[in-house]
Amino acid sequence: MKLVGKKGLSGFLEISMWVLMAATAAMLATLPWFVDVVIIGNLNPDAQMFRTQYLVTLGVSGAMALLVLWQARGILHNVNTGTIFSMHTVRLMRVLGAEFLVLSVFYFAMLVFGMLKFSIALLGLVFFIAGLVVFVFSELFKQATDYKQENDMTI
Amino acid sequence: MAIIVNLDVMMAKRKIGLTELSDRVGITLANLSILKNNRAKAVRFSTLNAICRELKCQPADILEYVDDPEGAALTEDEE
Repeated sequence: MKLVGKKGLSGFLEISMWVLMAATAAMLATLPWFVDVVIIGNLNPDAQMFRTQYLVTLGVSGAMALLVLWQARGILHNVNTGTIFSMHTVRLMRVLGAEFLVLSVFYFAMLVFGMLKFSIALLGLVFFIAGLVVFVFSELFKQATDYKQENDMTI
Repeated sequence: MAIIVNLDVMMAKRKIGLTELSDRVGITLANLSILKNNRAKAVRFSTLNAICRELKCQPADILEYVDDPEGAALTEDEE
């Protein structure tokens, strides 16, 4: 199976990003209903007092997830069009890293204000490390882009 | 950059056009144009060999070093 290209795994992943974005947008649009009916109504009837926390946590997480998926879709699009080593990819990765860091700060803040369980807030640590890793990788991609440009301009 | 490519001078002397030279040398017209306009970052020996063969000249006829203090400063910055 081809890994890279529109007819390969990366092509399938790019389409998957669109599907995931659509699903995330739908979930965000129906979030109040979801929290009231599914979470509070069916799963945890005693959780009425946590309604605001659910809405804020899931809402911000969902919105950031949408942004993260958009950057990932852009990177996969560059993979599929053969322009992976470009400043556009570097910018997308840096924005992706920033989004991960924003998410981690949000989760830590929710923990500090007592709006999240510690086990859930550990996700913030995961996002923090992921954000730093993505920043490092963006610098590697920038170097690769410079090397490619130099190679392309070697006659 | 302090290296000047005088490819157009040599091409005029041999009365050969860019398209014909690119076909003979085996590189694309775009790449040859990049080289002719001093926008190339590097030249492979194989390319230089092919150009000198087709234009019946020496590398010094095509490549010229010009003392360029600004170019030297840029190189130091790049390092």
